[in-house]
Amino acid sequence: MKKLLTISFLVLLASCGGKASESNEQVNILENLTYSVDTAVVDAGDDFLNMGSGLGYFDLTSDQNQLMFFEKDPFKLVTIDLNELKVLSKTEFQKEGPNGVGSSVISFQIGPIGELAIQSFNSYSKFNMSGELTESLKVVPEGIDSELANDYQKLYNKAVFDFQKNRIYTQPVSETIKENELNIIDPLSKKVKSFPIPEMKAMGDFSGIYSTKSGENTMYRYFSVSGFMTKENGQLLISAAPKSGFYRLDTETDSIEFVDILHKTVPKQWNITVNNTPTDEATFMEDQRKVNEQLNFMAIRWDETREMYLRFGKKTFLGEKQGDLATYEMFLFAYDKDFNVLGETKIDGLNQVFSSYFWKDGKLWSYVNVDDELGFAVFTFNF
Amino acid sequence: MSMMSWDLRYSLLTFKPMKNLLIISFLVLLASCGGKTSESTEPVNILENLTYSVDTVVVDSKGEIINLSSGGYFSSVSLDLNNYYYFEPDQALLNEIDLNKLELVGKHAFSKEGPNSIGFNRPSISALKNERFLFVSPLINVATYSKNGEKEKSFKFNFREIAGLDYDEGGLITSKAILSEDEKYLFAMSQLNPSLTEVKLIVVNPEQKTGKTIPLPAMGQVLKSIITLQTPNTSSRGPANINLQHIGGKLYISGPVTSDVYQYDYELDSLRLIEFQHKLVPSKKTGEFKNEVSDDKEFFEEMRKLIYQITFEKLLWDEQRKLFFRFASIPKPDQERKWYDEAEIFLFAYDLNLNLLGEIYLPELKKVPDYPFFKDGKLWSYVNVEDELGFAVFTFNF
Repeated sequence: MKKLLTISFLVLLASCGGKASESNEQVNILENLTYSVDTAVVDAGDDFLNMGSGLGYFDLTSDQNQLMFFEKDPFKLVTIDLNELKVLSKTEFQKEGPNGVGSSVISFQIGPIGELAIQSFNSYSKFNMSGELTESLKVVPEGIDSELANDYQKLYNKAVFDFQKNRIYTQPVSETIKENELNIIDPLSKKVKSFPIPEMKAMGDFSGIYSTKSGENTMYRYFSVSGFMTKENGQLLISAAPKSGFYRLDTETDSIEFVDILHKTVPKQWNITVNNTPTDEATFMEDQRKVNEQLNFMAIRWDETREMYLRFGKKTFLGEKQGDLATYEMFLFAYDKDFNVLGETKIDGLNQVFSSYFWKDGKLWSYVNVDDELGFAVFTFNF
Repeated sequence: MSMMSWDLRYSLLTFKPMKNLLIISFLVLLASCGGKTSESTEPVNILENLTYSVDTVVVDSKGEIINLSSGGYFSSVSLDLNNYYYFEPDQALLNEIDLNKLELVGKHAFSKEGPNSIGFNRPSISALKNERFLFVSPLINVATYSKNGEKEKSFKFNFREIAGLDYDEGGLITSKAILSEDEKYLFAMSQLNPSLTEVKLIVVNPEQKTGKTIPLPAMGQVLKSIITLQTPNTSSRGPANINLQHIGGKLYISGPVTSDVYQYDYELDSLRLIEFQHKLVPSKKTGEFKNEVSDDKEFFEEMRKLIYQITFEKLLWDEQRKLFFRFASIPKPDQERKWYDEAEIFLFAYDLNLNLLGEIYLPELKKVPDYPFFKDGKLWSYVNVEDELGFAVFTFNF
């Protein structure tokens, strides 16, 4: 079912209650969405947290009780108890050497049994919580183009580690790859499975790069659209901001399908074009503005408490001049476990954007800096 | 130098020969012989009384259209200075211009896919001898090509393939890649990534697949002045660059943030750092910059601290005078204070050992000439004359 859920079963229930209803109208469960917001501030104790560059890359333990992120300088893994709202520990990690995470952390994930997978610009490894490297995930796979196999930066693009299946999902970029691909790399056998994901081409279609040059000085400006690849509810979901539809990989059978999603209130894909290599600033700014004003779909997350998938969308309206604040419109979409649309709505009155956010116990936590303390705006959505 | 000697420790020689303009005591001696006496030990500034004229010339394109939308970036001058090659990246067309006749004499088609592909990232090109070219497509490809677009030889190496490298970017060696004139060495630079601690020169022997890296500590400031804005959907990067040039059998490494220059004699395996004490301009950009910022406003605030300071250009070699020249600029903020349209322009002259001989402020110039090169003692620079390819040709008298 690609439409809003038809509530025939509710009709049946209603019938039993003695009321007659002819309705086969679809229900939009988010139609009467309301929400309230609380602020939670983490107690850093005698210490303080360096929130100078925001939350950066973070992840939650699978029980959602702890959040971890890296403090930049000094380079330490910070563990937060989200129920007690306090700092549990800070552990020093090395950037270089035998236990080094490498330069520029790109992503990190927490595994189920006290493990971390940390990707950086030049390395990808598993670590224990004491900061010791336990396994390198950076391998030269066999059976694929050897040039790509040796090119870590291109092969491991957008890497996601699957702790359960002990394998790596990547979306490699290479001249030899004509169509977007999902690769599954097994770090032990060094085998690679590859699946075409042509719908993800949309991500490249809506990017632009513009350079301003004078003598030796060149400034580059670039815009792109977000892509998402996350394991949710036992499936790998691959989506991109310009499309409602997405790829679903069943990680047990390794079958992949494109799931088309038709919302009633928003189009399934963008109907704009942009110049990827504009030669004047006005075109660049205009295209960037256009892309931001589209409905940008965000990541699809599984909400265990409601047993449904929830997904935000945003429209960003950039200020007229530099320095003017942008304004936002936020949207929420809900899908059942088979990705039938249960509801869709613009979230009235919400004009802030969630950048570092997660769902916990059915509530949405969004990072806020409260006077340089780590804080969260905790949204309770009622529907 | 045989490649065997790469196992030996390279020598890092720091020369600080003369901090002042060259003292011309030998001229004083000559003058003495001529009967005049002079007590002067004042340094001479050979550019002090510089005058110049500028002619603008337009290339006869013989009815063909040369698409100038990418400016002069994808261009190269032949080693004998007789030809100028203007590459149109979108169409992959190489325009061949005879600089003596100022005529378009050929349009050569290159390929962006297949066995002769130059690589899908826009390439830089450098002319080699015998009407051949090195095309470097960043992160994708490094290879030589004939004028008719046929690939001759690949110089595309993964860091892992080269024995002796103590450094791995996890991909291909392409950054700033150039070849020695005999094409027996490939040189490249480490990526400009603010999380790295050093700038390194990478030297590769393509035949033996051996190589080494040479740290260039005086260029470290360039890493500290990389300002990047990273948001989920946008990124911006301020000016940060390093130049790797091959002039007269030696390598020169320079950058916009400092007047310091490294000279690397790869035959002798000797590295020399040359520092200057220019009188008219500071020797480097100073201050602390946030390398990573999170919004546009902060990005331009940091940028302002950086871009309106002294900026040094590449070295220019004047074969006729046997002198090096170098431009520098101090940009003036534009109205939005995001970039600049005008700058104060300075010109410096050095002898072939990079001793400073002269410096001058050029108030009439509002910007550094675009993509300049010396030919027959004149400075040529790219200009777009109503969408026709042209050159501003500077005749310097001093």
